[in-house]
Order: sequence, then structure tokens, then C-alpha cells
Amino acid sequence: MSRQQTQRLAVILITAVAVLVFIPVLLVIFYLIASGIGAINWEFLTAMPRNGMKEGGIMPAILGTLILTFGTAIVSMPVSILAAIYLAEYAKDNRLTRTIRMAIVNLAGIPSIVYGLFGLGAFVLAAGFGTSILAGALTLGIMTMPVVISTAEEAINAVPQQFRTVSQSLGATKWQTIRHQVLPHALPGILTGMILGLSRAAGETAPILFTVAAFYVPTLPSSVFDQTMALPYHLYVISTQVPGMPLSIQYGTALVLLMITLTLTLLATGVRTSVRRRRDW
Amino acid sequence: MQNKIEVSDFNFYYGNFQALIDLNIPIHAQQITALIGPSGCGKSTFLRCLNRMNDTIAGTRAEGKVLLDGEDIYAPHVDVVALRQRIGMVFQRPNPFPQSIYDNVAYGPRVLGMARHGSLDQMVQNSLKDASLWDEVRHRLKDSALELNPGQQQRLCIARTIAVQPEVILMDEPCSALDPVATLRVEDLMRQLVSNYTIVIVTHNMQQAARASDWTGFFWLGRLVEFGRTETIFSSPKQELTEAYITGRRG
Repeated sequence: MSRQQTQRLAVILITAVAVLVFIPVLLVIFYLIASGIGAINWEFLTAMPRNGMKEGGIMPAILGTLILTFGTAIVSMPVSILAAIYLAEYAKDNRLTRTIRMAIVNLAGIPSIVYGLFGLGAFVLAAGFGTSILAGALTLGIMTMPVVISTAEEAINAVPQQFRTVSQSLGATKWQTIRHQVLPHALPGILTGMILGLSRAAGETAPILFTVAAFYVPTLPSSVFDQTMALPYHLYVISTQVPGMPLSIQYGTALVLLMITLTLTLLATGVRTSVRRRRDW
Repeated sequence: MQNKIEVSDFNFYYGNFQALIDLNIPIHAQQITALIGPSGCGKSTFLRCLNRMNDTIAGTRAEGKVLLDGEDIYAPHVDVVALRQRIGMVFQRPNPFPQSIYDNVAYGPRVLGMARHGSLDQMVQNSLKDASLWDEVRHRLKDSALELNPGQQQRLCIARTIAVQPEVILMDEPCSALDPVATLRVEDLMRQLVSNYTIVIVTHNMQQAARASDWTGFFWLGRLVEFGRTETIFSSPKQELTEAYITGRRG
């Protein structure tokens, strides 16, 4: 085979493999839409479940997931952003910094079920929050921190050094420089990381299994100390624990969950692209 | 004539490398002092020592004295942030913030809390006028600074620097990214500004030093070889090395 033929073959192979990556995503999305779209109507999205969850809607699960995602943001965002600022702007290369970085890497590698058990031990039992939205949001918040810290730190580091130099040469303090030059320019990147972290939190089952998720509650939560239903756990329950559950409801629930996480991911991508287009440095 | 800055027995190190050796330089008030010399001779390093911008680089060390109005800026109690307001800096490449023209100039007064109600507009206007940019941008203050051409951007950076009302302006090869016309405009601007400010400029451009400065210092390998009146340095340098450099035979 000539060099040109090898070259052509290589390009074809590489392209084919790249396309292969795309196929599972499309299959999942189209299969879920095809099987689940029939179940989705206004009642499905807005009503309480009825008749052992075999009829009615999944509103409490949708609402629960939204509440948990919001709670996760409240827990994770301040700590993660401050930690990222510390690591990017203040941390010296010493033992403390290396320890923090190692902790973050390790946090990122912990399986989600372990977070669930940690949440059970730390927040549900030791802290006495019980199985509650508070315990669940704290658990999910800690789980998302490594992702958010890493992307936020990256975004902060991507702000050109000269902005800092100029700002300080004008007599701004280091904190003013961070507050008025670094953070505004890093914000879109930080947001992207935040949203990606949240989309993962929204779809996780294991961390909420022991900390917040309810099999079925007839009423909506009224405080952070209440349990709530949540989409991922609800999906698990209706697929495995309830005999005679109509398939359309199962697929419909999966479709709603996918749409929520997909929306978050697309939102993150959108923020990133729009900023890249605007950026001039 | 009073010296705005008096540098005595000054040494500066990057780690173990000594970048500046036994410098003694007077910077005269309300005059333009040009620092010339080949790349790597330490003139930019020296410039950044005058407002302690080198402090931000890890592993650097300074010895000796830099007196600003008689007070050592390397004394332990000195507030570096306050010092940098008194000694402003213009950089090699025009580097406006990716914000509006107005916000660029207003940045310093804002973070320093200089702007009392209503006066910020006036401060921005005065700074832009002093940087002879006002007439070109008065109707587009809200436009992005990045839409200006490089020469305008550099004058904007000068306006941003003088907005915090410094006493000294350090310029690190401010024209190296500009075309000849824009370069001349910046030089004219320097001649105007020097009635109110003390200016120190690092330049690779011999003609620029000869045209625009009152005093010239020639650096070579971290040492100050010769310092004197610009016309003297360029017409009858005392050191052979200086003559060789300015006539282009060494460098």
C-alpha cells in the first residue's frame, strides 16, 4: 500500500471511530423519546402520582430534583469558588497546597455510593438532620465540589496575567484585582463548571439514596428537614420495586430526567461558546 | 535641581542571578529620563524595581536604596499598593482591559476610592484630554477599548495611568508595538506630560531617546555604564562602549 493510501485509510478509520462515539448518545436519546414521549403530557408533569404511582404524574419527583439541584448549588458554589480563588491566586507551592490538591483529586475519584454512605453517617445521623433535603444537598454539594473547583481554577488561570499586572500597577490591592478584573473575566468559565457539576448532581441516585430520597410521599416538602422524592431515585423505584408499572411511565420519567440534565449541559456549552466568541484577548 | 528618585548602591537578584549591579542613578523631577541598552541589560528590570512590580515575581531580592522624595521605597513599612499609585506604569504592548474606554480610565480612581459623586466623569475627561485622546473618543466613551487602534490604545493606557494622579510615570518601551506616526504622537504626549510628571522611559530606539529625553542612562550587562544629559551622551559620550552602542557598532 502506498503512503497516500495508508493516509486515506487512516483518516477513514479515525473518522469512523469518532462517529461511533456519537452513536450511543443518539440511540439513547431517540430510544427514550420514541418510548417515553407518549407518556408525557401536562398531567404527567404537574400532577401527584396516583394509584400506587401507576397513574397520575411525577411532579413531586421533578420538583424534588429541582430543589436538590438548587440546594446543591447553594452548598457547593461559595465553597468551591473561594477554594478555586485560593488555589489559583494565593496558594504557594507548599505542603498545605499539595495536601489540598490531593484531597480534591481524591474527592473526584470517590464512587458516588460512598458519598451516599458518608452523607448518611455525617449529615443524617451524626449531625442529626435526618433523611432530609438538607442532608441530601450537603452530600451532593460535596460531591460536585471537585469538578467545580477544578473548572473554576482553570477559568481563573485563563485570565491573562497582564490584567493583574496592570491593575496592581494602578495601585489596586490584590483582592481588588481579583474582585474587579479576575473574577468578572473568569465568571463564564466558573458558571460552566458549576452547571456541569449540577447536571451530574441532578442525575445521581446513589448519594441521595440514604440521605433524602423518599420512595413515595403524598405531600410536597415544606422545609429543608423534609424528605422529598427525586427523579433518579423515582426512576429506580418504578423500574425495579413496583410490580405492574406501565412501561410508558418508566420511559417518560427517564425522558424527563434526561431532558433536565441535557438542558443543563447544553446551557453550559452555550455559556462557554458565547463567551469564547466575545473574548478578544 | 531636585531629584525625584535617587537610586544608590542598588543590586537586584533573580534567585542566584544578579540582574542589576551597584546602580547609582538620579531621576530628576519633571524631566524625561531615557534608559537605553541592549536586550537583557537590565533596564526593564530596573524600571520595574522603581514601583516594586518585581515583588510579584517569586525568588527576587533587592539590596540598596531607592529614595522617592527622600524616602526609601524598599523600607519594611512601605505600603506597596500606595507606592504604585504614586509611581504609575505604561507597558510595552497596549493592554487596555477588555472593557469600555470610560471604564478603563475610571478603573484606577474607582478602586482607589478617588471618585466622589459626579467627579468621576470629570476625572475621566481630564485624563483623556491630558493623554490627547479626548477629541478622538469623546463620542464613543462606552465603546470597547479594543476597538481603538494600537496607538490610541497606548494613549488610553497612558490616560488610565495618569487618572490615578501619579507623580512618576514609568514607560517600558511604550512605542515598540506602534507605527512611526503613533510613536511620534506618544513622544509629543510625553513632552506635554513632563511639565506635571517625572517620566522614566525604557527604549530600544536610539532616535527616540535622543529626540524625547532630557537625561539618558546607558545600561550594559546589569551595570550603568554612563549617565548624563541626553545631548552629551549622544554627541560626546565619555565611554567607548556607549559610543559603540549608540552608533550601532555594538549591541
